[in-house]
Amino acid sequence: MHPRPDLNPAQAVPTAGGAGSASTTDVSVNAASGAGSSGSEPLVALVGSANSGKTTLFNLLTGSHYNTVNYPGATVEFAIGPGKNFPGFPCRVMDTPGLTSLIPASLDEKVTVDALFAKHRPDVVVAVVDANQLSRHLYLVKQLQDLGFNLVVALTMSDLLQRKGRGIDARKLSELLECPVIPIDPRNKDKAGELGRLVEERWLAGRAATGRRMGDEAEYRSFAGGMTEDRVHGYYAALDEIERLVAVREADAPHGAGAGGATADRILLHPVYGLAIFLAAMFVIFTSIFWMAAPFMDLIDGAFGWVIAALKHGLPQSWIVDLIADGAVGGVGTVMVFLPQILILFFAMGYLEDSGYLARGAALVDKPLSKIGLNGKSFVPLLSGYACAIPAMMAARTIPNRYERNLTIFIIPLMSCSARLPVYTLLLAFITPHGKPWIGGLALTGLYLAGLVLGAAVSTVISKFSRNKGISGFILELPALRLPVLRVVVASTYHKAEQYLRKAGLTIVCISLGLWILTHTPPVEMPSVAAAPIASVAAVPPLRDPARAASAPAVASAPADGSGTREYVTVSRSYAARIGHFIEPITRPMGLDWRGGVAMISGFAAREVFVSAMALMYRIDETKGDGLADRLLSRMSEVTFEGTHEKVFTVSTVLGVILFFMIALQCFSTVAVAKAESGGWKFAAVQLAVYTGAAYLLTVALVQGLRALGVE
Amino acid sequence: MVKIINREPMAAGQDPSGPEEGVSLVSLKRGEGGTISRVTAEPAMKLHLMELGFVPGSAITFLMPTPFGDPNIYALRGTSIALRKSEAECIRVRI
Repeated sequence: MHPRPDLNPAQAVPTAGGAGSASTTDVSVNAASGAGSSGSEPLVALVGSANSGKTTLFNLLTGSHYNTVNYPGATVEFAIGPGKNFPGFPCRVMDTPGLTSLIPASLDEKVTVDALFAKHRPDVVVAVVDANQLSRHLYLVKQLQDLGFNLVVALTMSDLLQRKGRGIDARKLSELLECPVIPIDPRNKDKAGELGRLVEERWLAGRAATGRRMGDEAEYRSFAGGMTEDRVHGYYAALDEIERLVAVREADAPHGAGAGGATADRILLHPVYGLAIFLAAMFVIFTSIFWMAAPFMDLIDGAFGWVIAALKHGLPQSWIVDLIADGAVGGVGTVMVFLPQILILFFAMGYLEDSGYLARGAALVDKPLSKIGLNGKSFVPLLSGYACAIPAMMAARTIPNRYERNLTIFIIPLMSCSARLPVYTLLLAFITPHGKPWIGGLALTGLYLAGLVLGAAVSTVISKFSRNKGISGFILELPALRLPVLRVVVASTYHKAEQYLRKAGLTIVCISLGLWILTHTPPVEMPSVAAAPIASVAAVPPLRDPARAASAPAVASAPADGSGTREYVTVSRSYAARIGHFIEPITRPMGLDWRGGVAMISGFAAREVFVSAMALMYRIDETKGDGLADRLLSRMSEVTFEGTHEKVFTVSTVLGVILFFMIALQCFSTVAVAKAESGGWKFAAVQLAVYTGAAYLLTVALVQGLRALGVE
Repeated sequence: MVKIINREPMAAGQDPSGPEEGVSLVSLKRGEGGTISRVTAEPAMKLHLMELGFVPGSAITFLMPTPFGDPNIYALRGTSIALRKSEAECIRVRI
């Protein structure tokens, strides 16, 4: 037995109990099939190396219409869609994570193996093989054949091979492999019909054949257990022979063909230019998140604000209406506002990944990341964390070593996610001197870098004190550099965003709603004051440009504490307020009174809720969406602790809150995903406790320390 | 069961038992290539490397280093693969 580190092949295939019913319904599949229930439609699985063109083929066959299906209790997701380009052969097509051998080397490879043997038993397997890497990719094909799968080989990237002056005799290959082989370019539809026919033939042949069951778990276990070095050697000896027999030398091989890729890498991995290009790419990605996303975020914010205002003016005032408007619609708004940032970051990353560049990036940063206890493969998960920690933690599945994977997941919350941006922007605007907006921008960059540095520090410290880290491996294939297929990148971006909405979105909306209820019960009956403006707050104040906020003139805000509007009175007597008062001894050392305390608690639903909670607690009385930021800022500069003239929001307090948000883990959705990806509540609980506890202690230390030094 | 040869990883360049053994992959110069003669690593790693194509008899070339010196990029069986020096040390090459 040669178990992989961390992945015992005997454990690779879990018992199939309960596998089968998806927790989300494949609505599009049912609609498209028309022929009986989706359960009886044949399942065609696409299997192969990550860079073989498999996902492009999947998009081609499903027309980019697919669902990601989740299984209850698992974070494993499969992309399944109806076979749109198989005319006359209704079927479901499933994409799988990249696989090089049926003996998984990492968690995402294990997911594929599970799919083939346990969760979904495909009727036909289409093995996608890159014509330039025949022996390596046929290795998997041979394994699949030995385990009795119904195979069709799709041979891709023949054009690349032709440019090197070589070719492959597909018919001869099909003879030698004893299974159909079809050369196909996944970027155009030409051969899709032929592929469909071959798949259908194999399916019918498979149904007719009796005896041996395909994808048998027991057979897999003995196969995996019996894989020896001699066997591998034997496979490759046979494959080398096959490769030799099917190779075709084109007459006019252009001299130096295929050298283009090597030249590109010489630049991309150049000690000076390579590093410069890498830093430039990171810079472009991050700045695009900010400036490109801003107009869209303002648009969405404005739209939700409009809906909320319309609801409140159109319907008679009541607690229920406020619940729906501010609580529900507002809650949804806080989630939707981040969609542009998430879409942009994932599009950029998807584009770079499909181009092949991210692999170079991972190779580049492997050594620095190893120095702090991580792995070059941690690069993509960490980068994703800047959009949202949830898909980032899921991306950590590509890290083979369990310890490094968990460490990466542990560090991810320190990569400041999109939700912190409105908080940072508001608070930075407060302390940025007027007329010097560039300081705010600089400070924001500094905050993001600080998160990075902090992450590195935490990672180093944890690694120093850890034992039993297992064997760290890198071994990364650098795929051929190529222009990504736009449709594929767009489809994957859409699905990642959908993942965010499903996993984080729902939780955030529920908790926001809950918090709204907490801050608005018990409802207060007040004699209605004629013409008193109802205090209400748009979902998230449009606060993404510190420059804009800081340079706007201070607007006369609501009257000082005392004169009640209905909402403020309700909130100040609510359960949340009682909690705020209760924890005031804890929040005081941070520099916040009970109102700030309630806002901080609200931040635990989702960080951006902090801003709207602040507006609520400190009473912004106008309904107009515009100028809300300015009103909040000027309000913040006036607010005093009740009964005193001492200002609540001082430089030290604000810096303290910024520090708190940088470190604290204020997102229950993240906690849930951390538990799922690391495999335990203990991990997630420790993560939550460590970050939140440390955030509190450091914030108190900062605020008190600054005050001791004479800072306001 | 196959006999697993569990040796200490060699220092770069050392020539162990005979002329056919060759040198460690790490000692190749940029652009230099050879044929893999053996893979010496602990069982799981060795199996993994072999499954990826690092099989005795395969042609391998050292393409280029990376900016920080580690990993190095090698050409094997039609593709480029990044290997850390600690991983490349496990592979012996006949030039």
